Amino acid sequence: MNKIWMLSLSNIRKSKGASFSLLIVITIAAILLSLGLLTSLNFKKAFDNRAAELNSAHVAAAMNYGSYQEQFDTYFSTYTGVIDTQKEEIIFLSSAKYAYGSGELAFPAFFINTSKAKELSPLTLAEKLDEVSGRDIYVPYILQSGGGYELSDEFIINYRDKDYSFRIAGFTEDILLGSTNLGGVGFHLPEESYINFQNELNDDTTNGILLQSRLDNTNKSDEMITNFQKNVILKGQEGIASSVWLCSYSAAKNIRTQTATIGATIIIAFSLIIVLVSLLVIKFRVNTSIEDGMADIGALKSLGYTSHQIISSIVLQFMLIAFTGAIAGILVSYLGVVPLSNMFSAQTGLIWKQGLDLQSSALCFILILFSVVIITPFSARRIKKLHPIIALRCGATTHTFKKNHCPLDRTKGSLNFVLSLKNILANVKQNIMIVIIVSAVCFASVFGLVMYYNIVINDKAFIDMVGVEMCSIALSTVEGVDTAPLIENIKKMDGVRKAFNYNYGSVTINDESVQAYISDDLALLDNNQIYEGRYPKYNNEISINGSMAKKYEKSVGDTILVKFGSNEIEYLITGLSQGMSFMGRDITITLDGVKQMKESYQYNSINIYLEDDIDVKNFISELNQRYGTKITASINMKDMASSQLGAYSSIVAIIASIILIITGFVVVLILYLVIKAVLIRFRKDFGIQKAIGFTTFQLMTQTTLSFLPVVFIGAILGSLIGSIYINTLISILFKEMGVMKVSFIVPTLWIGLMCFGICVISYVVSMLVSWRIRKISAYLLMVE
Amino acid sequence: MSDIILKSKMLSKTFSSGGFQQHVLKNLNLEINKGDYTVIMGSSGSGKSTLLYALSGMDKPTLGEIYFGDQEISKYSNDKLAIFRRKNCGFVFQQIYLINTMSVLDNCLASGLLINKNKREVTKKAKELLIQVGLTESDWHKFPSQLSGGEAQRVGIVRALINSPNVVFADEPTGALNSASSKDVLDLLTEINNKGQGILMVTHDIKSARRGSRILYLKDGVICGECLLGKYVSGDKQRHEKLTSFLTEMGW
Repeated sequence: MNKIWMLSLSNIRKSKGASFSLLIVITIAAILLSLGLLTSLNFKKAFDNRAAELNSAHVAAAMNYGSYQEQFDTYFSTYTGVIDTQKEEIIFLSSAKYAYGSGELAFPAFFINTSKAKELSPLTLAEKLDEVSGRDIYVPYILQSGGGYELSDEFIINYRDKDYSFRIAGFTEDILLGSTNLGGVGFHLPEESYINFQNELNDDTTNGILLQSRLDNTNKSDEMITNFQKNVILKGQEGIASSVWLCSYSAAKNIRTQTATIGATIIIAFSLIIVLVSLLVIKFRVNTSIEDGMADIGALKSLGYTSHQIISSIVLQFMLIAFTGAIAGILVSYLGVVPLSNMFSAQTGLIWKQGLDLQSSALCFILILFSVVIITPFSARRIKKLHPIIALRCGATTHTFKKNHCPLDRTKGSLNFVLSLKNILANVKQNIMIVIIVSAVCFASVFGLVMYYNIVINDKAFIDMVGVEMCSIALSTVEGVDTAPLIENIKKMDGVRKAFNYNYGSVTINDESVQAYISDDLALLDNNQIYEGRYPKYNNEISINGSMAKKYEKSVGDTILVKFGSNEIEYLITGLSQGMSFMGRDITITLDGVKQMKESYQYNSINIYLEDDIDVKNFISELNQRYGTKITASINMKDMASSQLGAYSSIVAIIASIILIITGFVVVLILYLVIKAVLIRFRKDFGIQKAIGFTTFQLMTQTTLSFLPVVFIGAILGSLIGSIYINTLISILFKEMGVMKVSFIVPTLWIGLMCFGICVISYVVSMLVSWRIRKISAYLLMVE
Repeated sequence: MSDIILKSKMLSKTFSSGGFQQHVLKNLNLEINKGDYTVIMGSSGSGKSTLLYALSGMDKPTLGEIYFGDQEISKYSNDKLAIFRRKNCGFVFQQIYLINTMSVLDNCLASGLLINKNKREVTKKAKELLIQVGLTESDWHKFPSQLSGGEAQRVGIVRALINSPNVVFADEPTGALNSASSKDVLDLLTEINNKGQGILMVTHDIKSARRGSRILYLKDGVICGECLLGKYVSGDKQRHEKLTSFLTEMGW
């Protein structure tokens, strides 16, 4: 064993630079893999733990007094599995607007009086001011991590065109009420602020109720909400369904951990690419060390070392590097959790603190070492067939060159160019490895670039993927208002491109609460989400999300039972749609279709589309002036989207930058390793060429030209595969969330520039590494 | 004066290693005439290869000047020396040093195309030279590993001659060859010298040295004797005796 250790350590010492480069690649792979595993195995667990620490409610319902019924209270206290329940009086604003990031959000907002002690979801502050004022407000932590607010900042809420100003005195942690992605946001007000705000509003319709329950099992939360909608709300008064805000623990967990899940998936996928790169590098290094050390292998064999011992020394050599790299990577990954957590918190609004996790660290460690244990003996297996005498002659019989590629007398081109071509063709295996590595990292880069372009630069395709119909203004009307003449009047206003009815509501399919889009003007939608079939036209037709179709094993032409209130009707499926905004649980139906279930159903939402040059805020003011009595809320959708996308944009920008930086780094390391190996292997040839009159620059150019086309082919191949399959890959990644078909724009120019950049980097690196040729002395070669 | 192609003035070469300095060449003054077949002899470690590589611009002297014609090459940068070598020098090495990944013809062309970009002309010249040294068309596309030592050295000579150099520098050209191959190579060198090609050869083999017209004896980094033999004529016994007597006098 000692002999094997000695041989391994001697091999590492002999190739310090190459061993160090490999160590770096493995460390990067381990950092990414460990981070990905830490996130995917722990983020949801951390969410559950934090929810338990906060004694969070598992189900919440908020509404104004007008919508509240005694039976709701009974349901929340007596539902099977409820272990604790809580009823609070709140200020309920059906649509409150406030600045968030670079845009504006408009959601139902709930204001809770903090002076009343409560068991469920008690006020928990992540940060707070020490001194108190009469205008203090405690806002969810996501407003700091994603919205850009700080302690003491002024926080203005706009309700019915009137501004209400507060001072941010703290940031709260709340599972159900603390996210901007759950359709409603909860704020906490100290007694004095609460009373002041109530007095300022001076509007009884803003008095509301917040019901919260804690269950013995969080898995029951969705079912409790569905049954509440089905059996309690929909049996009651008309119109109530849309005015009660509901949230379950499962939905909150899914949505608030979504970014981390996606982020972890991307990180793990990228880390696996880097692991693959490491394995290819190991294979290459084993091959070159056998080639370069063939005489030594012969000497060892003639001394009596067995093939098994020599192979073991090589395996041990790479195991030592992999072991060190994996441990270093895992340790560094724990430092990376903090910035990663900060990055996620912009969208999740959660503070994620991660301690040592043996499970993910061990998994990462085992995966890397296991891969190395498999690939190294496989790559070194030719040692078994090497006879000592052949090895001592530096593999004379194995070094028979079969073909003289690109004979100098017949191949067109300059001498340097043809000699480079010869090198390329004489080292096909090595070049295939480079092509695979560069392709793999370029593929990952294309993924990063496409995500970046479609989320940060041009978000239309991303919004289409999410499934949001991006109108300029989403208008909600007062109950009972006839929307047809209102739409006709709006259409006559300057700058209106189109306007039509577009309602949202809840229906039930197979005892599951599903989002319903209701309109007779589906042909007017900007975002056609149907990827198979068509939207419904008649009252017996329906289109459903593809993920639901998969779940219920339905396809176009099948029928499906939909329940609204107490009526259940069978509809013909005419189309399959995509969209992840309700985790893929949505349907589209015509107004007449809904009326089959509920005769009295009416439109109460209008989508307004303005010309590009129209100022939306001014238009909303004008709308309120003209039709204020008929409108309950008017939401600037572009502002809202940019606010919500802001968090995604920064996350994607960071991930894309990391991928690009690592890609560049990997390309640099690989070229360094390969060129250095080439310089060692062909040292004698370089010396001969120098002796007969080649200058150092000529040899550097020759070496660079032998790698540049290979890198170029790899970059083009990876980019092409990436460009062609990127939409398929993204749709596979997000399939579970309801994304069936993605039409992300592939920014050809950007990708072209990336390929060009990689080639430039490769040129510079090749020239720099081959600058060592100047040290190869023709004279020393002769006297050695 | 116009016949002098290569000249050194106070040429010294010192190697340092681990604080220890070894003075291999000491203030050497030397002149080599155009078209001469000059042989440098000396025992192992006398500095003869060091002198050859310093004069050919393969290595730089520690002190002193080297002139090739009227150009002082000892001041040249490495790249300028490379360009100088490709234009003016041909090399024949003891270990032959062909590029193993290239065919016989490509080994010759790689050198020839450095100066003449006209592939057709260079190829024609390489083929003519290969035929002259006795390598037939079937050998041109072989790899060095498929040749015998003598054949490979003949390819080395063609490579040295392809650019019509002023001087061919030969470092123990028969050192790695058997006696038959050695004779072939020496005959070849004699033949090209008879056609006017200058040769500067380093050897410790009397049979090889005998082919030269001027023999210099190097001892402890200093030229301590010179023997002029004139043009080589096969079977010249007096020539052999003169050389033997010279070498004996030098302490060979």
